[in-house]
Amino acid sequence: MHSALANLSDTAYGRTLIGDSLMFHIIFAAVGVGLPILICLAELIGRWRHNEAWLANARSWSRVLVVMFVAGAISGTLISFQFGLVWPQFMAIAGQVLGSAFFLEGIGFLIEAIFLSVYILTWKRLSGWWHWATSLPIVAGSLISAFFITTVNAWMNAPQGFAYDGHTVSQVNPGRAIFNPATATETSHSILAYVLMVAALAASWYALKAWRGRSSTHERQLLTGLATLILVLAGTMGLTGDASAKYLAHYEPTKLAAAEALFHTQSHAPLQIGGIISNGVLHGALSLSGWLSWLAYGRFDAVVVGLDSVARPLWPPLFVHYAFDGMVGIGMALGLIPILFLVAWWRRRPWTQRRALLGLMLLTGPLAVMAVELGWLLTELGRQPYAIRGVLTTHDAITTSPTVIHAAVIFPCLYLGLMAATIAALRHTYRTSTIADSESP
Amino acid sequence: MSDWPIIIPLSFFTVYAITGGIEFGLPLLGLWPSQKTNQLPQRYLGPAWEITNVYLVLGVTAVMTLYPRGLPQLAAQLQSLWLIIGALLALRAILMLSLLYSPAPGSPRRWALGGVSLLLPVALMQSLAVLATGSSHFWDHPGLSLSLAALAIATTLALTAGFMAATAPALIWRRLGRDALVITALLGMLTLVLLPGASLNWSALGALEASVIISALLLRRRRWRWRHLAAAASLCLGTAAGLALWLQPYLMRPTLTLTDAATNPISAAIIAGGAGLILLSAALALPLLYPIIIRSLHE
Repeated sequence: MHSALANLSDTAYGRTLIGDSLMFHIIFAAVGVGLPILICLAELIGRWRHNEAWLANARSWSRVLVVMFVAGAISGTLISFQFGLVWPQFMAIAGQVLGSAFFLEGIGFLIEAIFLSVYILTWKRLSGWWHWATSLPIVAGSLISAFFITTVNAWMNAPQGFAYDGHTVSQVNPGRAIFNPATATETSHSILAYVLMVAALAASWYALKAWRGRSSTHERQLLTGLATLILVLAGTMGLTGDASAKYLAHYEPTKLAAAEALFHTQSHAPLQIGGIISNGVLHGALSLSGWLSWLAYGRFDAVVVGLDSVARPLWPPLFVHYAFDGMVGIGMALGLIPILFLVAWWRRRPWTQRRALLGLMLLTGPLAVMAVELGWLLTELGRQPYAIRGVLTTHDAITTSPTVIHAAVIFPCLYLGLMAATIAALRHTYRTSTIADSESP
Repeated sequence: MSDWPIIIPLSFFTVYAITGGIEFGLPLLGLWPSQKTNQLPQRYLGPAWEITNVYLVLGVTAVMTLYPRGLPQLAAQLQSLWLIIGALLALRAILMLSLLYSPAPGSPRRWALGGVSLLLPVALMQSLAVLATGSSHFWDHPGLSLSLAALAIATTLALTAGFMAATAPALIWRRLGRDALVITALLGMLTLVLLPGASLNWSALGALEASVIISALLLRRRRWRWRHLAAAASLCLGTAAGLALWLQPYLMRPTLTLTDAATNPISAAIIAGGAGLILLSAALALPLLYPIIIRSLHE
């Protein structure tokens, strides 16, 4: 009994370690995907309109990207170690099936790293459009990297392209493994979320400057542009989110049931918003009868699988209901806030009268970060108790080495230190770039 | 079939040893007592160097994807050491970022960065002790462990001094680079002799000797300012090749062979034949960018 508890505890530490690492890394990874797109767009507009202000934006954002890339490269390095050291059984299978996806992710990472250096260091060396062209491989590299690593996660949710008898992997088909049923919905939803997160963080920053009365005319125009971008992305994410829900209904019904706290298989399944789960019952939720059936299958009378379809030990943690509601709620707020802001802009209300709206815009960045984290929690916890759904349980995938206990304590402290150093470095970058920009002719 | 793809992770680790070696040594030379001498290494220090970690990630990914069946065994033996390496890498990044916004010379953080930077190659080299003996306690063979630690320090100094000799005119770097090269060559041979085994592996020793000869020839090209760095890099390659030849056909001695650990032939062909070659050529092209980086840092 004692050894069983100790074993359980070691597994919990391993899960905590990898969970903390991914939770930390995903912020930097998202910035690494979203910010190159904004930089590329800013320089494009700047070159097209011969507008120095847009070029200054691209230059200062690229400095931010370097600092974030450094922290992201380190946290990514640590995760690559942990995949092998903490999840050896998982990697023993995934490495054989999806080795090419991991490698293609590496190619993207390498392209991004190479051209980020080139981009930063050639502002004075390359002229006009040639310099802008060096931003394209950064965007391509970050998207390639994001696509393939998300594909690995999609495969964990919908594994295919191999056979596994409990010991040996055979009949490997990397193409089928990479392009699994979850790939389209998960990669599109994730990548859009990363871009939205970065746009929202930038909007928060410029809203803060406007709130303090320190923003220029160009920065206010930029804020309006970012609000439009957030609105477009949030709207598109509504569509990819809907596709994700339909995917879940077909391929991961238990995850959908846990996300919606649907305990019983039924037709006219209700969409349940909010509430508190206690003793296997959802209390105080807003229940819209038949809407979950409609969202999942396009018919109000469709039967939606509930948690009672699987044995209790195979249920995911019910916490995912809160994560799902939080993510969807924030997503809707991120669509609504820009609409209010843009209506005020359209009605030409002066900026001094928009303080409440600026306050709301200020919230979009932190809210978007929360949404990304909650979405990640939903994906990972909703698959439990499996690491590879239906193939390998998390308990079997993860190491039970006692070393992990120390690592699970030390690494979160290091992540906090890295976060603090990153924030301080970003502040320094902002100050020096402000001085440099003010001194430039 | 299962043996030759090991060249891919090995190449990444070697490129990392060379670029990372320069990076790890700069904080040390930045602590040089003479303020006139230490200014340039301090200026070269910067977060941009952290990008060299890409090579390490690619090397680790290559091992994990080309030899996934050996991972449970590798993880069991390397776990403690590599978690320490991970912690040191994170600590180094924290110190590096903190020096970006507070670059005061002689600050305790600078000394801490120098210390952590020196510990990293030492810890990384201990992986070889684990792979050579199959024991997670790398200190079980103290002679080998100490030799690897000394080799790591000497190589780091040779690479960084070679880099400084190419970019700064000070005579001190050329002298340091030359002396460190000689010590590195001697320690490389000592390490090969100390590796456990019934007899000396002559092909491994031959690879190292060939790199020593190439290094000596490179040093004779007196008008070429990159000669010290090229000689150090050649020695790095020779040491890596020697150790790899010694390890053959094992991934970790004495039980885990490359064949036992290898992935299936389809995945190996895709990874090694396609992605591996693309990555390798891209990774080898990246050092061509360093002259641009260096010129920019000079400006």
